[in-house]
Formats: sequence, structure tokens, C-alpha cells
Amino acid sequence: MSIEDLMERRRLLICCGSGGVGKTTTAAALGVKAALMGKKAAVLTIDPARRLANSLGLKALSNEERRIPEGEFAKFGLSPKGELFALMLDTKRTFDKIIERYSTSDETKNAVLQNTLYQHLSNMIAGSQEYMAMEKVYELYQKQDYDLLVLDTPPTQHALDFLEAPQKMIHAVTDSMLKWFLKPGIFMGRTGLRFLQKGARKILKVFDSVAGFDFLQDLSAMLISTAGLLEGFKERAQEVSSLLKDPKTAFLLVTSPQSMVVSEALYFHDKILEFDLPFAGFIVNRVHINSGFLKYLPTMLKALQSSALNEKQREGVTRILKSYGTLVEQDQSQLKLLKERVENKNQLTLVPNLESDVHDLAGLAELGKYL
Amino acid sequence: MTLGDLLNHKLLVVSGKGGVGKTSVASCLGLIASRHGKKTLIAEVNAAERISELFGVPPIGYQETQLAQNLYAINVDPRSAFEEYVVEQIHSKRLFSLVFENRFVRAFLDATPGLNELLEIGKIWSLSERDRDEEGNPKYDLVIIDAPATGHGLALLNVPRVVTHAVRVGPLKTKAEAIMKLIQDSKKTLLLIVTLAEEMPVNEALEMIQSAKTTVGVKTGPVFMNALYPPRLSETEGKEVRSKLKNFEEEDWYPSFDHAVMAYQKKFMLQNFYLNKLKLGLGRQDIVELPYIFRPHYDRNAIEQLAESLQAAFLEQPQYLEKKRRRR
Repeated sequence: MSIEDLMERRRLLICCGSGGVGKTTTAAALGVKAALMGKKAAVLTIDPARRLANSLGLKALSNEERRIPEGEFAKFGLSPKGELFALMLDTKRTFDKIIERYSTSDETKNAVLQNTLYQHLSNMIAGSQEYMAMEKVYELYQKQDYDLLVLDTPPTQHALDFLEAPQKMIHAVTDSMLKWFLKPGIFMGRTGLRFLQKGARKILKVFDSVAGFDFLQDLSAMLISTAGLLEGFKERAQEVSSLLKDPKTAFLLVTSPQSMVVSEALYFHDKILEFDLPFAGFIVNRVHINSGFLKYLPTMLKALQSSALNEKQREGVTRILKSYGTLVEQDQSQLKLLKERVENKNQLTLVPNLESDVHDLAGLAELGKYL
Repeated sequence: MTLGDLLNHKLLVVSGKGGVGKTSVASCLGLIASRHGKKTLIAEVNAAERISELFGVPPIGYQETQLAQNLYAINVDPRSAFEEYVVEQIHSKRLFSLVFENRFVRAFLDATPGLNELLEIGKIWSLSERDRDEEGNPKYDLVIIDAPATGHGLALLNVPRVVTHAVRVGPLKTKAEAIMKLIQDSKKTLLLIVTLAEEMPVNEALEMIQSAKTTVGVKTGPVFMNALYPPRLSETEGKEVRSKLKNFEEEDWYPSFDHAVMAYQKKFMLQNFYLNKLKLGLGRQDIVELPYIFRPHYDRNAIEQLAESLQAAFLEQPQYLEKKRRRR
């Protein structure tokens, strides 16, 4: 299915891939394209760079979606039939909101929000940024206000983190040892140990020597208060998880044609298939598209010899051509690897290496033409 | 800063935006340091291993593995670091398995914020500050972290500081304080930011320098501007070349040729714009300019070539030249 077809038939496009491949820009370009096609689209980005906001004609993005004014499009002679909204994920704020939503009482709510560990570290909870991104997407999805949502995923160290985020959150609730022996009071003092099962006591002793009792007290206080409310959104996490597998969802793997990046893209592709997620294709950015260049190269170099160039100029041009040839060669060998993974040519979208940076709606619209 | 000054540190942390070449720069510095006779360890952090691929060796994992004379590598993953730390504290592998190798405890640990980062940086601290060789000397002269990208990279350096604030007493606090001391010791530790001559990487580099200073308290060394296209033709020469080659315009290869030359020249001009932007943003801080390595395969040979350029780039720095002049 081509990207235009995806925009017609799917409701959620997820752009994933390693850092620095142009995911954020691609996601924004997809959003602009959808709006130009007449869709009501929203782009959710994780990138804190203000540049994306600026390139969309906004001063800043916030945790709530903002519409890109028609006037901004008009400045570049664009008149979208649809609408475009954009928002930037604020992990901490989204997390806070979840806690507020699922807290059974003000007491629990405050216990978590005011916990030192929570305040300092909530965005370091493994997978929390990834999870929050999906939580936010789910919220928008449920609203049914939009024809199309485009998600720019966080730059994870491990491709897995992102895919496993909902599952991890579910485990944290259902499987955690919190459930069977971390009850309020146990960490209130060492005397509490006496009432514990032998096994659990052993565990606590180990924890004490490893981390110290006071730290555990803080930690357990935080986890106990969160655990209560985590139960509440366990169901939600399951729904988020099934949204990823929904036939109306499409995973687009963004990459560049560099060898290290491509090997990560291939690994990511394996994982998408392993998790049974709806893979829709690769988007390869910054490809040196110049058909026939390598074939012509010897002729070009020969022609230079008989040209009017002086020695220095000939040397300069020769070097440029050889360097460029290496880039084309590198791109082709990496594209070959990607081609082996796709079912048809629609699943491999090439975006040429643009000569200038994309920094406004016109640039994004231009980029969208290749998508 | 001379290359010698740089390599005299104990811990170099290499970070920057995704895709800028952190692993390449960390590998180059490792090669150079080891050839200067320093026993050097390159530590990847919880990463899809790249060093082993670059050096053409089997996956390394959580084992200090020799890559070349004086050069070692390890991939620090938080799970192995956790096991090692706990077994060391309780002196029992059996008890560790009993307590920690079940999914209930695992899920609890996964839900503990910052734990992974603390374990990773804790292991690095041990490798750099504590571990000794058979003769009782520090095991490594230099540890180079191939750190995660900007945000995660800063989190890694910042977590000990946060823990010292969030935890009141206990072994965890003591350990976190020791790690923080190492990170904030400007004689020992240096953050090296790698960037590209493009909008976003340059902005991120400048922002990272600010956060490193104000939040983490780690000293930043020279900034590595990677993958620069070397100058081939000046703008006027470029124009002259085009007019001199006008007679080829009808040839079938000409559009392909013209596209290539224009692409190169435009990229070159654009990169100068961003190089200047970085220079303005950095003020007096040094920039080390590294060339794009034009090779169809990015492997050990490419790293060797980049390492040569890196050494040459340091020799071209104004301060270094000044010192040399003064010595004369």
C-alpha cells in the first residue's frame, strides 16, 4: 500500500527508527501531506526542539494539540482542504494527569505527586516516555476527532523498549512483588520484619544490605501509592497494547541509507514482525538519487581529461565525483538489504537527500511529495 | 586543549544527538589513546552493540574484551551490572538467584525509576575508579563511555546527583555521592559532544552544553564537528568549471554529473553556515573538525582513517599552534 493509500485507510501512523534519521521531520511532513489531502490530522511529537514548532508556523508546541492556522499555510501558497494539529509530549505532565485520573482519593494522589523519588525520577521509569506517548495517542484516538494521527516515537536505545512499553506497565502492576509482600507498614520499621514469612524476610535483608532501609521506605511508599492506581489503568494499558496491533494502525520504519542505521532498521523490522504489528514499509531519508551516475562515472572522468579545466579544477571535480560515487554506491548496497525485506515496491519509499534543511511548511509540503 | 591533555583524563563521556557518530569518535579516541600507551576501555552503555561490529569481532557483552594492544571494550547492560553489584554486597550468587531471578522482583526493579541508569554509571565508576590490576594499579588509565544520545546521556550523568538528593542515608547514597564526585571532577572527567553541521544537531549540542554546566556539573571538552565534506572547489572555481564544461551539456551523462557537483557544493556551503553557527554559540570553546569518511563500507578501516584525521585536527587548533610557537 502506498503512503497515500495508508492515509486513506488507516487511522494511526507510527514513525519509528533510530535517532537522527529524520523521524520528527518525516512525521511532520506526513501530517502536512494528510492535511493537504483533506484530512483532519494531528501530529504528536516527542522532540523538544522548538524548530519543529517553528517550521509548522507555531511559536511553541504544548501537551495539548494546537491547530496550525490556515494563514500559515497561505503564506507559502498552500491551501489545505483538511486541518493540521500538532502537539508535543510532556512526559511528566501526562504522567501527572494519569495519576490524577486514577487516584481513588486526594490522599493517594498527593502521596505520589509529592514523593521525592517521583518528582525527581518519574521520567526515568523505564519505558515511561514511550508509554506516555502511546497513552496520549490513545487518548486522542478515543476522542475520534481526527481522521489521522501521526506519532513520532521517542529515540529509544532499544527498539524493544517502545514496543514493550504497555506490556511492561502491565507487568509492573500485576507481577510486581508489591502485590504479595509490599504492604503498607512493612517498611515502617525493622520490627515489621518479624511478621513476615521467612522467604520474604530474607529478601528484605538482601534489599537492606544492597540499598539501605530508608531508601526502600521512600521507594515502597511511592510504589505502594502508585500500585493502587496502576490497577486502574491496567485495563487501559491492555487497550493501548491492542491499538498497536489494530488493522487501522500502520508502522513506518524511518531510516537513512547508512550501514549502521540500516542494520538497526532491519533489527527493528524483525521485532515488528515478531510482535505481530502491522508493518507498512520503510521510509528511507537522504538517499543520493542519481540514476546512472555510477554507470556514467568512467565516461565523466575521461571527459574531464579532454576538457578546458586547469589542473587544480580537474583535480577538484574528480574528487567530488569520486566522493559522490562512494555515497551512491553505499546507498545502493544498503537499499538492496532493505529491498529483500519488502513485499512490493510500495513498501520502500525513498526520499532524496535534499540540499537544504527543511524549516517551514513549504519545505514539509515539498518533502511530502516524495512520501 | 591538546590531544595529550584530553587523553590525560580518566573518564571521557562521548554524547550528542542520535546519528552524529558518537561510536566512531569514541572508537577513534580509544585507538589513539591505546597507541599512546594508555590502557583504555571503551564502554558502550546498554546499547545494540556497535563497537564489536566496527572492529569486526564477535559480540562483546558484559565482559571486558581486548580489541587491540592496550584497548578493551565492554557493553554495560543494567541487568548484569545489577547482578554483579548485588552479589558483591551479599556475597552469594545462590541467594541472588533465589531472590532476584523471579519475575515478581524483576517487575519491581523495572518499576524503580532511575535504577538502570544508576547501575550503568555505577559500573563505569567501578571500572574507572576502583578496579585494580594484579599489581594493584588502576586497571585502566582511561575509560571512554560511548554514551546514549543527548537526553539519555545527560540522565546517565545526572542520576547519581538526583539520588543523593532523593535518598537520605544508606549505602545507595554513599555510592551515588562517590559517582557524582567523579563526574564533577573536572581533572578526571570530561564530556565530549559530537555533532554534525546541520540545524538540529548543532542546536542540540549547544543546549546540551548548557545543561551539562547548569544541571549536571560536568565539564565539557572540545566539541567534535563530524562528517564535514572537505573543500574541493571554491564558489568561483565552481562557476568557472561549469562554464568551461558547457560544451558537454548535450552529453547524456551531463545532468547526472551536474547534479552530483551541485549537491556536493551546496552541502559544502550549508555546512559552513552551521559550522559558523556552532562557533558563534560556543565562544571560546574548541571545535575539532572531522571529515566525512567516503568509503562504501563503514568498518575498522574507516575508523583508522577518521582517527588519523582526528589527530591531525588537534594539531591544527590555534591554541596548540600557539604553544608550539612559544616553545620555539
